[in-house]
Amino acid sequence: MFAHTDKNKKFWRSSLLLLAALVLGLTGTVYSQTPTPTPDPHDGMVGSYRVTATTEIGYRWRSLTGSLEKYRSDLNYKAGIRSFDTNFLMETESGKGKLFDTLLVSNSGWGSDPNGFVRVNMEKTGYYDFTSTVRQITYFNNLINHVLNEHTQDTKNTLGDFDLKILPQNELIRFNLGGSFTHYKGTGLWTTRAYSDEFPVNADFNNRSNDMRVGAEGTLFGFDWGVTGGFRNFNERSHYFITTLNPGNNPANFAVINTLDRTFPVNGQSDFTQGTLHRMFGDRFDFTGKIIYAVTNTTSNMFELITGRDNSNNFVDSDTFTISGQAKRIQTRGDLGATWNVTDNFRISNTFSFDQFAINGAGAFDEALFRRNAIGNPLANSFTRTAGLRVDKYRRITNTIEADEQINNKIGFHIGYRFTHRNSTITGFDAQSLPTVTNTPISESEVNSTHSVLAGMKIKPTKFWAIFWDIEHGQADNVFTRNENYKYTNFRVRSNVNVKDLTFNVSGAIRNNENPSNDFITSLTIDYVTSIRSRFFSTSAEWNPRSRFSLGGGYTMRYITSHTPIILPVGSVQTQGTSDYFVRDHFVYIDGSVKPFSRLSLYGSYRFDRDKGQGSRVSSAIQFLIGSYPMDFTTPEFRAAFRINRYVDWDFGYQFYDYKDIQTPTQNYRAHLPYTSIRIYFGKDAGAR
Amino acid sequence: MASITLIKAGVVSAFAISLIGLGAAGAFTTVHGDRVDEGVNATAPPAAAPTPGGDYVGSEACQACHEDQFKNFASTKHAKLAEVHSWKDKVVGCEQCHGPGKAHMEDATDPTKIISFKGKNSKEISETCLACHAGKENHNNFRRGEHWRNDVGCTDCHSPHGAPLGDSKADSVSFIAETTHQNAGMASIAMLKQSEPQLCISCHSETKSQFTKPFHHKVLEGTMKCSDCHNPHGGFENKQTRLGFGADVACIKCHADKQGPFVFEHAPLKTEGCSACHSPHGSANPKMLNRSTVRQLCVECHSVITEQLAPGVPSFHNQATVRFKDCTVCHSAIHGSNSNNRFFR
Repeated sequence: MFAHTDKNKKFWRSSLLLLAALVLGLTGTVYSQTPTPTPDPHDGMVGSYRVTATTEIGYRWRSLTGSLEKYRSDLNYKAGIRSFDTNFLMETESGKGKLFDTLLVSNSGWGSDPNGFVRVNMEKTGYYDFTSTVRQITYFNNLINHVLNEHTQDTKNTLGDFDLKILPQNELIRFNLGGSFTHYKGTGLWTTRAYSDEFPVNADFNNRSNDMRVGAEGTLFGFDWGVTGGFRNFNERSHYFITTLNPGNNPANFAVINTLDRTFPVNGQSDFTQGTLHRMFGDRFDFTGKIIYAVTNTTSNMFELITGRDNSNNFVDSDTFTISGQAKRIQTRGDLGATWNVTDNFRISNTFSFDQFAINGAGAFDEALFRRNAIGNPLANSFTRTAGLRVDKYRRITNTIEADEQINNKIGFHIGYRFTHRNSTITGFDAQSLPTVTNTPISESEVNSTHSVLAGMKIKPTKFWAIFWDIEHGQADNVFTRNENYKYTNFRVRSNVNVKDLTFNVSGAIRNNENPSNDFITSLTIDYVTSIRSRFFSTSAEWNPRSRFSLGGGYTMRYITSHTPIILPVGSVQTQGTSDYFVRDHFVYIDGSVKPFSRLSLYGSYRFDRDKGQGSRVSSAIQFLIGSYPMDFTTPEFRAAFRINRYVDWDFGYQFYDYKDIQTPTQNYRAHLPYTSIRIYFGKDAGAR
Repeated sequence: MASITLIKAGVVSAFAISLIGLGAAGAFTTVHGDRVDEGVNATAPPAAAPTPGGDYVGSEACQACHEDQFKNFASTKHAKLAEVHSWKDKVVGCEQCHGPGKAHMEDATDPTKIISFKGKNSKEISETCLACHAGKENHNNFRRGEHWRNDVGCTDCHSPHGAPLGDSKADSVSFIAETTHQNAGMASIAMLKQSEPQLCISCHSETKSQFTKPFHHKVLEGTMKCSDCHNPHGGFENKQTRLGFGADVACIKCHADKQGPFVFEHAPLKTEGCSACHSPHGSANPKMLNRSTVRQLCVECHSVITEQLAPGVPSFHNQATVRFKDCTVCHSAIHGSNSNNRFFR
């Protein structure tokens, strides 16, 4: 369905160019910094900078049996040249560099990997601190078990963040400048609904955003303050189209689409202002406040033209939709946190949060439909004009008060209470002015409060062993459609043992969540309570008795049981049924590295994930639905690093991915990914690796 | 439009007023070291940087006995503070945290003569760090955060002395390698004991299984960091997540097309957040959904969906059929729509 070969070549070519430019750029930076720029690999010094770096470039092969679509949706590793983990660090030994004290460039994954990043950190203590990250994720989705395989993607998401702090260590004032961008682009399939049918539609996805932010923070009259303002521009330019006859999903009707063309440009603008305030009063009272005010607008204009046949087998010569809309969201968030150190060991904290937003959205819809009946005689033209207005208002306050007591260095505990009050309303109308005049008002509102309690404890039975647990029980907000609140109980426990060479962790959590409804079927007076029970247990151990040997392993169990009463039509009778869902997931891993000789370093890993799903449970009747997703995912990996000389390692390795599930048609795959690479070390300690 | 202009004008004005105010308060002159804080508490970590002199002897005096610590410490940001103008007349280096060293030098055998953190609990140790680091927005909520509450302190993750890192060894080719002295990564920047995500996973071990699911955010691969979404130092948001842009949730920062506002909103997006439907760490389900079938996910809230069922139309929303297994086939604009109140496009 998708052509990748050229794009792939182009991608790694451009990646290599980028890498080369980066290296050249860095070299240029080095030379520009130092009057006598003679790099001496033996001491790792370049001028006054100490260089510590590794870089690895290699080639990966791929042999795949089974479903390429599923493999690409999961992993998407391709054959070809790949840049592995790379770090380039320049530091001044004296602590005083002319342009920078520290420069770190980290890079991984470019080339035949589906995701790559370049991170640059550059700082001069006292003057500036610059951080940037550019990421690219090649996303692929083509799965038989999701939306009938009609929401597919072969896209690229490029993201960048740039932040500059000026005078970062200055206590009185510091400045922050930042920018970010996202660009999502590619092809795929989407769906549209028309004439009582659903149709897969080709899509050219394209949206982007650009952010800018500027701020300052510092200390004034004993208060730590901060002000940030920023804006984001967003635009959506995706295009949807059908160019050949498309019969749709519903086999029971006549509807087909011959052509569809939809453009749906959306422009958005978001502006925000944020202020923060903090002060510690006399080592006893810590106060933090934060307020954000944001205004976001979008304008949209859709034009769609469809030709084909409708569900009554009439010819649709032209069905055009012209839709324009505007939406505006004004949001204010305020947070206040206060901690009172009553004694050195006893503290009381209060956190208050306020969130309020109003979304006003309005749209006007025009449809002009020109049809002929099945034998070609013109039907009356149809013009429909409707409008919709929604005003969503939401206000929530949350207050959490907690006390924590550190009884001694071995035992501490905390207790707390959380209160939430919520007020939400939706008002508006759906109106029609053509062909008839109608007006349906919309009005829904809900006011409610929730209460929950929390408690926890940390115990250190020995110097090397810490146990934490906490519990939370109460209610949480739910959404508009199901206005009753969740009832939940969460319990977590975690144990960490850190003896000299050994780390051993155990953790577990229990979450019980009930989601009742206040809606009732008039004919069936049943309270539709969804019950979700989650359990997880995880343990891991790492053993590092010496620098030449390490061994680690772990196990994680995750169980989810979801039970929902539903109504199903059995025959033509509304019948009460249930929809149950099961996750019974077990994940095991073991990995280790050993250096049997000074020139040879080995790594091996085995990861195995099995979800048993519903197990032997089967549905006893049509209205009792059972769902799960049993699957096995095995990912062993082996790697050897052979030291050629002080600066160069020859690496080779092998990865194997074995995926199995029970979908029909099968989408299992087995992927063999051998690779070889050269890893180059720079710096004084290169030989000491 | 007028309000947007107003906000921009407000931001610029606030910024300008702040600068003028600071200038008037003499803030910029102190950058060059005109003002120093007063008061030193010799028995407790200093709440603010104290004035040198008196019982303070300077970090070089510590070097003679604590050679290894000094060597590592010398290249850290903490050590470099001595070169920063606004810190010039304040105590920096070892004595900034350990207190004045004169008495300790005179009698090194008496542990009460110097502030030592051995045997102190995490909260006490963290208070020392917060004396300087609180006040920055990123750290303002540490005293109310999950880590604080569970007695995880600053030095559990950060190495204030600059810890020596281990040797390089063969490692996974899919996941970013462990931090070593040849591969210092982000650890060298934030004075972390290990780079993310290894550091976070060392306690939050259950996330390793989530990040190795078929569909996951690329955290182990290094493309993302835990701290891109979470603030380990605490925050006002649930799970200590960061805000994405303005007041929007963390996910919106990268997934800008979900930001809205939409003419027709799907309420959970704004009121419950993306994790109502998605498992952000990873999932075996496409799109990192919490359930393998979209239908199940939807009915957990919309269980009475067939209430709209017209009598005698049994096929409508019949969840037992393949066609209605995935609600988003029809309701494809499920994150919000500008054109249809039932999210059809």
